[in-house]
Amino acid sequence: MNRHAAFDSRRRGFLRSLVGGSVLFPGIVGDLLAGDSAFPGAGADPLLPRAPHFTPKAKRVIFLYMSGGVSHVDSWDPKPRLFASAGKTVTVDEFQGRKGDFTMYAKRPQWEFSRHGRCGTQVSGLFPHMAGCVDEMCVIRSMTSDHTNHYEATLGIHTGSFTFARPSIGSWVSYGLGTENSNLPSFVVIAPKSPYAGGQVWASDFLPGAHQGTWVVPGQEPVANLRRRSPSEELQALEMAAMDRLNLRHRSARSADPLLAARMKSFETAFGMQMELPELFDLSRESDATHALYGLERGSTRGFAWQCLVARRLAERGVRFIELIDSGSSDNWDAHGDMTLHGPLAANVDRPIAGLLKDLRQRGMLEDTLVVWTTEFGRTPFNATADHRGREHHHWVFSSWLAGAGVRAGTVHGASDDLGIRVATDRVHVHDFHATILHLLGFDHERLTHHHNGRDYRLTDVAGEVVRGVLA
Amino acid sequence: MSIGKTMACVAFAALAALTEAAAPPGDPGSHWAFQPVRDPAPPEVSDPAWCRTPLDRFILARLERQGRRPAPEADRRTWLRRVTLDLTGLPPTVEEIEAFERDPSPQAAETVVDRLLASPRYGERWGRHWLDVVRYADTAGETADYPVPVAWRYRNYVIDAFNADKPYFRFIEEQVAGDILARRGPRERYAEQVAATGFLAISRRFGFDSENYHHLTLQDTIDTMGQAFLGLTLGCARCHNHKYDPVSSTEYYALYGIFESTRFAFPGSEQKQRTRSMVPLIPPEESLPRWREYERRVASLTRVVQRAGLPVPSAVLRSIDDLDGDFELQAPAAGGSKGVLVPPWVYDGPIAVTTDAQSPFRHRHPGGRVGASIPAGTRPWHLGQALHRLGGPVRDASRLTVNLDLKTLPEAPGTPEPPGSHRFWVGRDGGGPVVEVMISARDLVLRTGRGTSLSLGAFTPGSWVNLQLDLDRKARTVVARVGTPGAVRTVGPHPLSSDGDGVVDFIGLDSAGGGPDSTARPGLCIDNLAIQPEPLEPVSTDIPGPVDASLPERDALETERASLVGIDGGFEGQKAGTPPAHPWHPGPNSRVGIRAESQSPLGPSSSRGNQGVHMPGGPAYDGFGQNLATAWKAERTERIHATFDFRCGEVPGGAAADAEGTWRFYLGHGPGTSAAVELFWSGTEFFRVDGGRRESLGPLQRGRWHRVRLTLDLRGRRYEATLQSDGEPEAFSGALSPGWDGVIDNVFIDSYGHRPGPKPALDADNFVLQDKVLPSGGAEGIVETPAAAERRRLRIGEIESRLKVLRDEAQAAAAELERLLVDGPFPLAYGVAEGTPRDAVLQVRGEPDQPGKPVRRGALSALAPVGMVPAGASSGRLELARWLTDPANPLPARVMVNRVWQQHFGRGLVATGNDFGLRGQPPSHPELLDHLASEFRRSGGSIKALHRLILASAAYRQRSEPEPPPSARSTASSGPASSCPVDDPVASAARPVPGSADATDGFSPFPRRRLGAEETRDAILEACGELDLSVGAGHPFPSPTRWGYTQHGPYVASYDHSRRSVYLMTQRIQRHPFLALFDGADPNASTALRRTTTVPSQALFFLNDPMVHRQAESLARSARRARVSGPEQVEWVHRRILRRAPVPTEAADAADFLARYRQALAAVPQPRSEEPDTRALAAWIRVLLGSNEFLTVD
Repeated sequence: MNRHAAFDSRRRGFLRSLVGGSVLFPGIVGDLLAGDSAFPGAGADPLLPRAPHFTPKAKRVIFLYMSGGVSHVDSWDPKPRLFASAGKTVTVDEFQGRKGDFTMYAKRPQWEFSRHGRCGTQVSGLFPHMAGCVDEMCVIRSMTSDHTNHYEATLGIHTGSFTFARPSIGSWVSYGLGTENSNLPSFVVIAPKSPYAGGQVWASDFLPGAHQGTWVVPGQEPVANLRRRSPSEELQALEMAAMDRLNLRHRSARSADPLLAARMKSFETAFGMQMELPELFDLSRESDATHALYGLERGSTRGFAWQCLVARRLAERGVRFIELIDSGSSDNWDAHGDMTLHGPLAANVDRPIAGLLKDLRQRGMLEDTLVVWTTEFGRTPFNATADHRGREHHHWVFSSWLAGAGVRAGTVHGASDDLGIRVATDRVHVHDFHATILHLLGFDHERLTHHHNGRDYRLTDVAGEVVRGVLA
Repeated sequence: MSIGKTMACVAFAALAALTEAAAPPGDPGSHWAFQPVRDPAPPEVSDPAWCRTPLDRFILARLERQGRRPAPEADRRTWLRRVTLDLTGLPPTVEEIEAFERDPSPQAAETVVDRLLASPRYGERWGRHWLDVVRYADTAGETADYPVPVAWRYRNYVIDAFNADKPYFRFIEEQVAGDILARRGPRERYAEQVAATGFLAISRRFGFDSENYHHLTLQDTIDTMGQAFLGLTLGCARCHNHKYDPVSSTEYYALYGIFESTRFAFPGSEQKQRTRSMVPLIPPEESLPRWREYERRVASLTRVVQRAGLPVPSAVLRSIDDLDGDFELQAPAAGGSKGVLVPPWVYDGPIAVTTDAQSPFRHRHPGGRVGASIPAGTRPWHLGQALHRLGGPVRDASRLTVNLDLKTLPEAPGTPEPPGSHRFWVGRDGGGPVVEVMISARDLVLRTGRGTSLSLGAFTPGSWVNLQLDLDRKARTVVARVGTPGAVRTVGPHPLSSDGDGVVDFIGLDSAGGGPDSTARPGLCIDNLAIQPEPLEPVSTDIPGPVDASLPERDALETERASLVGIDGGFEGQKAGTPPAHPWHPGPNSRVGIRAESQSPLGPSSSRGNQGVHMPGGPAYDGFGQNLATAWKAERTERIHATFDFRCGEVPGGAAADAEGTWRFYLGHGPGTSAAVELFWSGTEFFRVDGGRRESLGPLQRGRWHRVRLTLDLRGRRYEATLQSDGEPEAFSGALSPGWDGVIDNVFIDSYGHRPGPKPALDADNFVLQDKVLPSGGAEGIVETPAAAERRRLRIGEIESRLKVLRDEAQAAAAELERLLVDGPFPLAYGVAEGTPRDAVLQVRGEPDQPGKPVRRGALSALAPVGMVPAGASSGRLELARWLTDPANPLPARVMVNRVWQQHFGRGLVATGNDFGLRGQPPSHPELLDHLASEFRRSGGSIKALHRLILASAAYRQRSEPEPPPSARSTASSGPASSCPVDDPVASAARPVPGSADATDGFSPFPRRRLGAEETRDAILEACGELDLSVGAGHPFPSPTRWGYTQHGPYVASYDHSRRSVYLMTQRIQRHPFLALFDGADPNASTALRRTTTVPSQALFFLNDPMVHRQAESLARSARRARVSGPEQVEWVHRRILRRAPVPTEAADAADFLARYRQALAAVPQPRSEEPDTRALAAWIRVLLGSNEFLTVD
């Protein structure tokens, strides 16, 4: 990419300036300048780019995660019978994790459905803008998870494990692919608040720490310690030059050691990040049309629109896995008391996500970017009382969608039963979902493993089938 | 739902079975790690002179076989820095370096090692390695990540154990069975051994109600135990026989039964937000009496606090000897909780924990929330627990009191009463009962042996009844007391059963009440199941114990004060010209104020006051009122009384009578949430609202004081009232508002009337609301002589000060109560205790709801030729501990010497430190491993002796370079006595990478490493003079009385301090930002070996983190205070950080840097007052702190 190259030359310029006018260490600096991968020693850089198992459709993923459980029957999964049966009783053998016979009352969806796009996929009025993009999507209406509680289900959709902490999907992708841009982390999470299960959602667990997600919090200092604390760039450059000099002197008395070299290089990269990241977060050079496309008010860092536009910029700069979480462990889609609370949450994400899809499409990036939209579970189509205004947790079936690289666009995969209670056809378990995402990235999910404590671990545990029906 | 099931293992095993290549050679029986430890003779080598210790022969022999030579010896400075950081996690001081370099003694190195091993810093460093292995954290890890305020005791136990060189095998035993060992003495080691069981208690918790997922916690326990002590991954056997390692599913559940028979301290969870079962650090014979005394103190304080009208904190701390049967600590089914009993209860059948089963009787605690209930019918059930809480089976206690509150459930009218009975019994687990009580629908029958039955009397189904049994074991008699408060019937003494040996170690309830199993039994609720050596107070609905004498005094004083002061609303002491102060508050935007002219003249007291409240008239809103300290509800308070005096002035600007706005008196829930009574008035008319209708009560006189008195009957939902001016009171009454929600917690007067328009000015006074009857008296004015007024004022003053003392006492009682409820009567540990010993039932495919056959508790059969069977009524943990440490068990010694080796050489002799199984890596030096293991056994498991052995070696003295770098060649032959050469590097050139597998396998050259997370932080603090070397204890967690963490709002915190990093609070769900950044241990799973990653965010830390800048500035200021001139300052900081003087080029570089920095700084606007010289020096310090030399160890 052009701007990448531009940055590279700026970095080299910086390095040269360190030795400008000096006769010290020309050979060694020359060595550094000769190439970034001058130290191919084992473990020197866990983020070196790597090839997947086979030619991938997707080079990167943008993972849109709606926290709290989005009601499938109010959004992506039209259930005419649920509209017709509102108030009638339904018997289920389990409710909120308890077994037994429960008589429940079907609850009418709050939003009406209509057909959209050339493909005619039905979407409710909850997501009017995303509805306009159905021709890009494969909507999966037969998702299923293992747990009815937020914490476990959130951990599950991120790590494939519903109990013990394991590496997150983004960490696995980073582990498998490395990064294209050494000035940026390979796995970035943009979330305004901490999600259920906290940092475990993006942790690398037993994978090397370099693969953990970097948490970007919208606001003044989106990444910890990114803001230069030295009073000026020149002063910091002086400090770095001095440190380089010390480190070169230290290194010159020793054999070439990847440990020492990698640390020297990390300062250089950090300096690069310091320049590149604020620029990345600075959306002022984006056009008015782009702002309008995402529904972003100029200068604002609030809301999902900022997150989506930053995601596109990260994708452009070679970040492998970009996760956006719309809310946190409270004030989210968890509408137990009142379904109308879905309204403002949808308004926060709807136009920005539609804008992101259109933007990626018009820039030609949707060809090799996989966009994933999901939540941890759906919400009950029924309630314990007839007049209850909210919906409870429902992991038996819910909806997600995929768009972009390698996805059979303009289709619907799987179905729930007449009332949206259970999977009717083509069940897609969380493990299957993960296997499919890895497949699109060129991985055999059974071969992307890491040996740890006597076992070869993988994202999909011992399950997971690639969902062929969603592939183009 | 397959939650928690480790399906992975199933397919993994199947897959591995198919893939022959993946399967390791040989059968488990011949696997190297399971063979007995041999004591091999050190091999012959061609250069014995190089070897300083026998272990060097093993290292050298292998190198020689590969045709390699060891790396040359490191210089003394390098060795000292290496060994000091290795043993203490802190770099050596300049003085230590210089002293060592000067020390000509051949024992110099030995002396250094001894000094370091004796330093308390050693335990902080090596304890941390162990804490990695046991995945230590200060929080529980379930959905809300509850803090564990006393977890630190285990952390410090570990640190202390390393400092004291506790023999390793005892270290294992204490962590597995310290609570049992503690009882065997010696007394002074009791606390330490109990704290050791934190190893088990810190197991991860899962879910919303973590006790529903106790099977996962036990899996975590077994996994960690296997990895830590045996280097085996046992977890796979949870679902199937381990395919590689000799661990069968049956053996897994044999271990599982041991831990299921163990009672784990409970850290709190979203569903149960309090800790419990924390383990006393004093033995039962001391803790039980102190706990009783404590409970009495808690009860007494609770009464004081309650009677003083102060809020009583909910009980936080529960004993493992709690007088409510521990039901309190279970949770009713709700929101993902199954509402089941948890260990140490053993139970089966349709038992539910419900709020309906809460007994109304109070024994010591202010009141519980839940009990247990069993529905009517024929389904068999049982529940019970072992009485380990009494310190073991009761053999010689002469008396024992048993308490049970119970209620049978009445059948629907017309349904026949079930004829069967339930049974309540105490006696020997697996043996006979000493006493049984049969509970049928309406009576209790005592049985003390075959055929001996005695009626204890009848009761009414649906009503609670209390049963107490006093067992006099010397006289072998029982006395039974049955009844309700004030109506207790005593039966006996009656001879006890002569069956069996009379041992009492179990208390149980079940469906075996006699008669055929098909007999229907009544529904039953039970609560407050307890057993203790002392008698109990008679049953009561009030908390038993003496009444606090201060309360009658307070009541009398308050009555006297009321008669002297009368009614004044408390405005008298407040500042004139300001809005009414606490407990009153002004309404929003109001102009209300205190003033003398607003004093009501109405008696009996009013003329004695001197101030009232004034609100100007007009159209703007005005008002004042108070939120009541306690909410009054009809269930607890029958009547409340209110009064106020008021006087309306003119309407500013005037208004027609029917257009005049009104004032309102409001009494009810919240401001405007739900009114009980509303009254309205303008300057000329008084209204009330009755049943939603407004009704005029007649005219008022503008400018004249009026008094309203009200009595509310909260249960009858009516009120009686009078309105009085100078004539006779005019009575009126009415219903409380039909929509009133039953709560009164707010009262106010405001101008939000039923009629808009400008309102008249208002004075108000004598505004009182209370649950005591108001002093009587008319509304006539009072005349008092000055002398009488003075006497009265003096007396009021006396009463006030005495009441203040009483109030302060009540507040002090409340504070003491909270402290007691949080801290308990004696120190407690997050540890374990014996539970109810039972064999586990195999869980098919790891699913707790798919029970298989029961499995006898025991250990792994293949590992040691010793069997392991738990003795009698114990969990089997002690036997497990002995089995783990049996000299015939080859693994623990091998695993531990490997861990120690690994921390010194960066890599284990077995690279997979937690996995010595068939899938782990074989040892690079199997004979050396066994040599060390044998020496370790010979030393009795002394880790310090092992350090001495390893650190004395030539292998440990090697350079981290394969050959001397050219610049050092000239001095290399002079050996360790030469000082570290830091030469000008211009002549140096990059040399080949020594990264071959052989180089690391052979432990030559010595591997260079970067400082770990804790070392990095500690080194920065130490270099900058800020490190606090005091020992850390607990963390500043919020008080447990205020805990309410949920998955939506989990516990998240980070507490900074300047103590060593091992004392930082670490959470499971949110990792500590610094430790996570620098590859700290994973607090969720055992970490055998930390990885070192190098990422730019670490560099950003050194560039921009406020901590680095703060520390650097602190050191710069110290440098400028300590040394005057620039070069001296540079040298001073150089020695503080890199522990050496700068070489000339470095000094020149520094001077150049400082000059250029100051110059560049001058061009930048100066936001801070710090001098440029200090800032420049601080920048230089940051450069040194971020340098590779500071952060790596050669």
